[in-house]
Amino acid sequence: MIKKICGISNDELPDIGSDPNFVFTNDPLFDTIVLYSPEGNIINVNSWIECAHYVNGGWSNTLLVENGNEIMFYGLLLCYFSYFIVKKFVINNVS
Amino acid sequence: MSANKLKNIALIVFIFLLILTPFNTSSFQDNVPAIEINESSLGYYQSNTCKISLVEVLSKNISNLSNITINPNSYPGLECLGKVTGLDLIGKKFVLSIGLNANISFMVQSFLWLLMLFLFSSKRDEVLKFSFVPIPILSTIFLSQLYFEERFYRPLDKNFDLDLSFSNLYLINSFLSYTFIFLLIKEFAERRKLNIVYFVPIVFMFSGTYFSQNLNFYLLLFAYFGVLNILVNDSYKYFNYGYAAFLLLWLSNVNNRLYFFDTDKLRGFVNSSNSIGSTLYWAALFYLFINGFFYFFNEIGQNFSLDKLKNYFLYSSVAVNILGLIGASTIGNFFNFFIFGQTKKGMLTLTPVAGNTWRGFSPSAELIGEFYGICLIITFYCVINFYTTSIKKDILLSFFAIGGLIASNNIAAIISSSVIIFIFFITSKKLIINKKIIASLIVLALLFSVILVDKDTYDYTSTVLVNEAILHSDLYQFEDNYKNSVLKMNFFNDRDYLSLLIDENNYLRASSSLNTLVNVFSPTINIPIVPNSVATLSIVAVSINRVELWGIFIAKYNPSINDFLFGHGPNQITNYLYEHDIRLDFKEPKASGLFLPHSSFLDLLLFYGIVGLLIFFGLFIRKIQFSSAPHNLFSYLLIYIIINLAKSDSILYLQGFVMAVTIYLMVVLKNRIKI
Repeated sequence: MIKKICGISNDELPDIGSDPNFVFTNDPLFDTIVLYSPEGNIINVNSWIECAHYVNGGWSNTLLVENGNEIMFYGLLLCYFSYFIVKKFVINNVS
Repeated sequence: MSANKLKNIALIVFIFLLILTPFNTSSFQDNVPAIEINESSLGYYQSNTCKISLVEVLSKNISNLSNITINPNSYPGLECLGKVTGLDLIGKKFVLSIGLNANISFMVQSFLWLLMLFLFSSKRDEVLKFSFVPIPILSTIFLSQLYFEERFYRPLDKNFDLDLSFSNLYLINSFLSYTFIFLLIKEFAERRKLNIVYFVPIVFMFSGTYFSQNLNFYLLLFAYFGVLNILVNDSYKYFNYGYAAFLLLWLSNVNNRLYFFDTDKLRGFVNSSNSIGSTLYWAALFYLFINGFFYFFNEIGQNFSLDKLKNYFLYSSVAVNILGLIGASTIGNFFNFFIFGQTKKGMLTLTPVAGNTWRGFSPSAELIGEFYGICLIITFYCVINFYTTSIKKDILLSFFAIGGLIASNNIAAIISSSVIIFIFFITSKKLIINKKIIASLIVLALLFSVILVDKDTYDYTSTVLVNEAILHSDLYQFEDNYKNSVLKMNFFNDRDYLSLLIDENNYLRASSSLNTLVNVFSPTINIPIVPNSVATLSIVAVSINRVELWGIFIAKYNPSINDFLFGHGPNQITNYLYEHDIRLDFKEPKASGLFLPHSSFLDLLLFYGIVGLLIFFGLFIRKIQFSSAPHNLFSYLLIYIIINLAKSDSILYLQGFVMAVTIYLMVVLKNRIKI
């Protein structure tokens, strides 16, 4: 995934973890890439290490439109459909 | 294998799948595997959020579970369902955050609790047919809570959106979820019959509070049956008119300043706002809730088995103990919280303070103490009077209740239940009473009370409540609260409270209840022999260890005349908590804790005012009659509940409310029910 989004690099990804004091150094040879978080936040990354770090954290170069509500909606419709099927063909026949 | 066995196995498999599926939402073979949780993997889990499921993480950390606490959160979307959304090291424990979508949990928890209803109910002789009309109406009422308690719900879901449009899937999904669950409740109501009295102990096991919602499953259930009661049964004319009058007064009592209460351990059964909308919502819900009780009690058949009720209580007390112990593990703790709908998670250690197994199953020690007390009263009543099929089993199982009661440290419940059981013993015709023993006990009790009176003199006990209220009031304005306290205490020796309130216009900052109590305590005319009512209240508070908490109540309770007469409406405690500024005479963090009134009578005073409280008293006390056994059991239970409610907030919790109302209605209906 890192290779696909950030490209190939000889650099090694340091153990940044959650260090709040870590500062990314800009790489003038690196073309700025725009990354999107799952929540729709945007960030410009200016080095391979910065890019790799964010991609590791779930950021991507494509804006992922979260469709959870739609999935839930269709899931609920399936529940209703199942209910009416079960009611018509199982419950009503039993009682 | 018989068909029944197959059915049971299928049901168990279905329940397991229902519980585990939301937490097994990632592939074990993908390029983001779960790794062992330790300090070096903190960054890994913080970077790979919403990719690794809970089941996957737990499977890699079986040997490491004692260092992990699972902390569910509802804010992320569906993409994080059941997956790790963060990992932090707090103290020595790793806190593993798990995304848990509110809509999905609502559906899963509802399915679980509906299954539980099916298990604890009986089949109707004849299938009934109910209208679909109440379903959209009830769904709309419950949906309106999102608007009226927006401040509670908005931070809990990133998709929260109140726009009224057909493209707002968040609202549509919420509406469809309610509608679907009501459809299933309708199916249940048509085919099954629930005996609410047997069901009371089950409510102590399945608390029914929805994850990340200020909603309880039993509110949905009772509201549906409440609507049925209005449609099917005769209306309760006086109740309806009285409730409508109170509703108008509650709405007129809503003030302009909006407060927010995060609901804490009252979640699911308390109003988090004090707006007109939320007051109306809770008033409507409560009306339906009470009507639900009426429906269930109208349905109780003539035959009622005391032995069965005792068994339900005993098995529930055993289950609460055992499940509580299972909840001391990381996995058990989390799944107890989710499956049983606890308001707060249970204990994670077996240390003496945290080690009460009821934690999580009951929001308060007082409430679970009352539950165990009732369990023991019913059990011993059945044992003494031979209303049981197995005395040995009852005695054996009652040790769970005895252990739970002692662990709850609810002295009032221990004493009152012991006294009632003792009365059962001495009134039992099968026992020969040694009068000398009774006389000795009475002498001992008198001696004990004399020692108590000698220790805490009248002068001290009669003033201590007002002193405490003054100490917690924000009177003098020095930044250092120690100076304020010293100034206040200068007036305590002479009991010159009127001067204290006049000094630096303190009366303007004191609550109206403190001002009133000081005026009553310092009368211009002193009638000899007749005890001062405030002094008497103070002595009562000392004797039941409620001085501090009732002192805080007096410091906080600042009602207008209308508030005092009619209250703020059902489950509306927000005004009391935030309307009047006080300065607690404690150090942090105690000073910022939640201080409830610690008396259900005071809770009722907040909700329904003194008029409502007197009506409740009238209704309760009027019905206590000691008819012949076995009906007199419920009169004793009612006395037990009233005594315990005086010093506990149990009426604020759904389980406590259901228990009190059920016992009251059993006393009311004693002539209709054959035990």
